Amino acid sequence: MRMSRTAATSASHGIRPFAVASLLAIVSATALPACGGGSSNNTTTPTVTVGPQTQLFEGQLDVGGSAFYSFTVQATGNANVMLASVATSNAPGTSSTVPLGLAVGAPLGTDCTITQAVVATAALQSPLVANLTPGIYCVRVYDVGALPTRVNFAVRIVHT
Amino acid sequence: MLTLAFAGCGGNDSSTTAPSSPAPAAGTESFTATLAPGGTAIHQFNASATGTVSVTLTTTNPGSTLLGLGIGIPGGNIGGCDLTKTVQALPGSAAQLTASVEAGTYCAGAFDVGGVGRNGVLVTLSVAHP
Repeated sequence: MRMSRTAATSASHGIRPFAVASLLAIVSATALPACGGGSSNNTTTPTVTVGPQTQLFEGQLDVGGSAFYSFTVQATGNANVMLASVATSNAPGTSSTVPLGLAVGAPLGTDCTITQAVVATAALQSPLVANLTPGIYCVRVYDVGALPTRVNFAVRIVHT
Repeated sequence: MLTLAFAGCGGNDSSTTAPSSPAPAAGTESFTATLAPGGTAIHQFNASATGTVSVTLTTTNPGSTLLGLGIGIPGGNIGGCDLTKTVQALPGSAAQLTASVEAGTYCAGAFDVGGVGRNGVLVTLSVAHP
C-alpha cells in the first residue's frame, strides 16, 4: 500500500516507478554496509558451540554376548551413558532387572577396547559418566554372567 | 524493504540474541487416549532436571480396568518407547509408578495386559515430572 502511494506520487512528478525502485535499492545497498558503526575495523570470529547430542543404541544381547556402538565426540565434555531398557521381548510388561555390563572405550579394529565400565540394571539415570576429549569412542553392553536368556536392550548416550 | 534493511542496525547495542527454544520446566501433564485390545498409549515429556517422575492412571472407562503402566525413553519398541520399568495398576488418585530420572526426554503410558475389551478402554494418565 505504501509503495503504491509512493509510486503514484512519483509518477505525478514525472519520475518513473522503476526509477524510484532503483533509488531505493541504491540507498539500501549503501545503508547496509554502514551497520556496525565505529567497530568496522574489528572482526569477530564465529564461536561454534557444540550442543549435547543424544544417540540411541538398541539391540539384542545373547547369553554370554556383547554388542557395541561407536560415536564421535566433537568437544571435550561428559558422555552420559544410560542403560535405559532391558526386556525379554518386544511385548510390554517384559522389562527385566537383570544386571548388564556397560562400558565406554575406544574402537580398535572391529572391537571396542574398554576404558571405563560399570555393572548396571535398567534405570533412567546414567550410571556411567566419562569425560571425553574429541575423538571416536564406543559404548559396549555385555553379559556379566547373569543373563538367563536373550534380551533386548536400549542405551542412551548423551555427549558433546 | 527499507524498514527491513535498517532493522539490523542496533546502534551502540552490541548484544546479540541467540535463537532459543522453550526451556523444559517441571510440571504435570495429563493425557487421554483410547486403548485398543493389545494396544498401548504412550506420551512423551521432558524432564528439566534430576528428580522423580510419578505416573498416575487416574481413570479408565470402563472403570476399574487393570492396565500396565510403563516409563522409559523414546525408542523403537512398544509404541515408540523403550520401557525401563512397568507395573500393573488399577485407576486411582495416587501415583502407581515412579522413577528417578535425569534431565532429558522420556515416555510413559499404559498398555493392555489382557483386560481390554473389544470396544477399547478410555484412559486418562497424568505424569508429574521435575
